[in-house]
Amino acid sequence: MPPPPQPPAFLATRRGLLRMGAGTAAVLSAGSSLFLSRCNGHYDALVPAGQQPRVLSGKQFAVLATFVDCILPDEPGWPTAVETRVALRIDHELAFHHDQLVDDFRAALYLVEYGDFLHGGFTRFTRMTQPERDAHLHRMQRGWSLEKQAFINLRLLAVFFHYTDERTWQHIGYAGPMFPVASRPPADNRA
Amino acid sequence: MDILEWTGVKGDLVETADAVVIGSGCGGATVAKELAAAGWKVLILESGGYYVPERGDFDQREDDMLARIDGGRGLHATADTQCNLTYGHNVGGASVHYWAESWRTPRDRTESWEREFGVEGHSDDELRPYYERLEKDLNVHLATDERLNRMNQLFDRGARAVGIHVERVLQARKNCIGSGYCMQGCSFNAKQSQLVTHLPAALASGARLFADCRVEQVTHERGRATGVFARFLDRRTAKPMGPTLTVKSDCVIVAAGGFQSAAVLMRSGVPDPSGQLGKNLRANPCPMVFGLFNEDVVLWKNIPAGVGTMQYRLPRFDAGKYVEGGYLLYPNQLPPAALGALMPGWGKDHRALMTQLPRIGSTIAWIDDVNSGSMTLDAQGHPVWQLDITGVDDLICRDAMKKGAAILFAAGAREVLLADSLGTRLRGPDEMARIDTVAMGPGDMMFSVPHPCGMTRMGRDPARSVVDNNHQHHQVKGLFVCDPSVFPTAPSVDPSLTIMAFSYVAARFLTEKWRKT
Ligand SMILES: Cc1cc2nc3c(=O)[nH]c(=O)nc-3n(C[C@H](O)[C@H](O)[C@H](O)COP(=O)(O)OP(=O)(O)OC[C@H]3O[C@@H](n4cnc5c(N)ncnc54)[C@H](O)[C@@H]3O)c2cc1C
Repeated sequence: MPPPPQPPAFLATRRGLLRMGAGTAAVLSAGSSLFLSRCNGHYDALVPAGQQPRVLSGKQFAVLATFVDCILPDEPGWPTAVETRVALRIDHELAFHHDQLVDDFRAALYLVEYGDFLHGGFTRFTRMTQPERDAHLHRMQRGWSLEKQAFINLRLLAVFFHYTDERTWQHIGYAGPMFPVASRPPADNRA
Repeated sequence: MDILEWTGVKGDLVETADAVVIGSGCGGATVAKELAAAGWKVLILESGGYYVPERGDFDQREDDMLARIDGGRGLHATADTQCNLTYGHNVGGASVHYWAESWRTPRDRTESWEREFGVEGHSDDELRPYYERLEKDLNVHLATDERLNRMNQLFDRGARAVGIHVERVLQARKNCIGSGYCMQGCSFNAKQSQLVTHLPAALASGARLFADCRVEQVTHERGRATGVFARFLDRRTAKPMGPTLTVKSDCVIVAAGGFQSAAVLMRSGVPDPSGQLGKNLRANPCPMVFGLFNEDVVLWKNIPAGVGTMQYRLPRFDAGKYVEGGYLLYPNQLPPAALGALMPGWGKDHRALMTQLPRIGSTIAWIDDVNSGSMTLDAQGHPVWQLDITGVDDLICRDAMKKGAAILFAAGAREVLLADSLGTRLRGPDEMARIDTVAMGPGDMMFSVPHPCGMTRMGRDPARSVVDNNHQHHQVKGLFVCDPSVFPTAPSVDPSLTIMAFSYVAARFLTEKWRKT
């Protein structure tokens, strides 16, 4: 495979998704709040019914929900990612973290939503068809360092929160904890 | 145990103590126990929550337990996210979610600490009586047959088949029933964490412990420690709840763990003429490989690593060129959702792997990192860690993955998956060379880093080290560090026993000599 083209300068700095540091995160999260908060109403339709984010804006949450849906598409007989409230639990989890980390998370969503623009395309992730979304994620997975980081981290969270839901366990051969009743921790990220 | 928790805090508090200990893990609990036993008035401050099985806190759920006892609730990573930080944030610290393997630091390593870094008073001979005491108190014993799960049996079989020496691993457990939830905190108090060993002993001798209490700063004046300033945290939000704590003490012991102690010192404006504060971070990155078997392996049952191999602990070089080794290699243990999150891909491909989850086996190595990382504070005072797996460390990881893959194939795996984002699969041992080229950089592969050390390293020379051989800060008298931050390099084995043995050395100095100096 030929090496990918060089990224724009601000993407070339090797900083983290979850700890990108001031410069990169500022650029991306400024973009994130600007673009994701100004765009039109099509995002509303992407928010799972009855799910209210606490940390992310409605539009950021819509991007996250669309990403999660791509990673964990519906399969007959399995609980859906909407039922296991994956996006909502990720949003709730962010409430326990400091602002910088949350900004980095928003920036990662920005890369998902607008990543196509970095590669000369013009389609937002949430506007893509399902095959286009898969292709976009494949490109992120092989892309510039920050894109890869955004992808690997978001994917990890989506899978983790889905499969900690007891409704998935029978499908993956996990009998569950020895204690049937979950204790409710005070610092709870369960939706 | 009688512990002040956030719900019991009604307003600002001012305390005095002979010693205030920051952190209740292996390092802090051990020194606190010794000082309290010597009649000192000891106050232990722990920013994490107090959780015990008796109250039903240990519900064995991955999500709940990660949120309760992990330092970053599972989300802390190095700046480029290549390394996922795993550490403690609860009463008892990381020992509550550790694997309980209990090694003494090998003599070659303590000798190199002495020779290269001027560490004195911590030689193998000097640590021996403390190791012996710890091994007795923590019931350290070789894993028994009944504790070996299928993955351990497969590891044993596969390793022997490829000529790798296998040995039993020492465990700090008592009456273990093999529930398999070690990492979520033992619901049966069988694992001999600080929660069931040194903390109850410290409190029985009169020490007090405040949970949910985050030390913001060590206070110091004219080169002497004067106490600490802390804030109580609301456990429902993990944010400060209002009330503060001021402790007046001329003896402050920082034991906030290998990822956090240096940050406490930095936030406190402690002088750093050597420039070594926040440097020399090593954390034993863990390369893993996964095998698909035709039988159930069930990685989340029984204890994690009852067998393993020390054969590759030291790296081998030929004319300066890396050949192999530089790690410990073990059977892996992962709970289902974490294992699932490490399986590559998405959609149907990922789901296909999830349906085979019980049939997935794995090996894990801790590499004895040669290169070091660092930590700085961002504008808000949050630590930013940097640890790159490059150069010889990259080669060590690849070698550990090859040896792990060889073991899995020899044990019957039909395919081996590398833990990279692209999901590289090896169909047989003849494809092993692909490990040489698999992308392992940030965003390609993630490594957990469970054994941080080095960022306030010890030594005789104030120009090269942060604390002296009594664990005391070179420039601030009465300020001590008692955790692996003082190790000059990684110990090349799991560190808990050495952390505790070092704390015994510090406690002896404090009780026998310090007040007199
Ligand atoms: C999954 C896992 C498995 C492991 N398995 C093994 C094993 O099998 N064998 C082995 O030897 N080692 C193992 N380790 C490593 C071992 O558990 C740790 O090295 C050891 O427990 C660390 O002890 P510590 O006292 O240095 O720090 P910690 O246990 O991290 O304790 C530090 C405490 O300080 C608190 N703290 C931090 N900042 C502040 C602050 N500002 N104010 C107040 N409190 C603060 C933290 O909340 C924490 O509880 C494992 C680690 C992990 C994560």
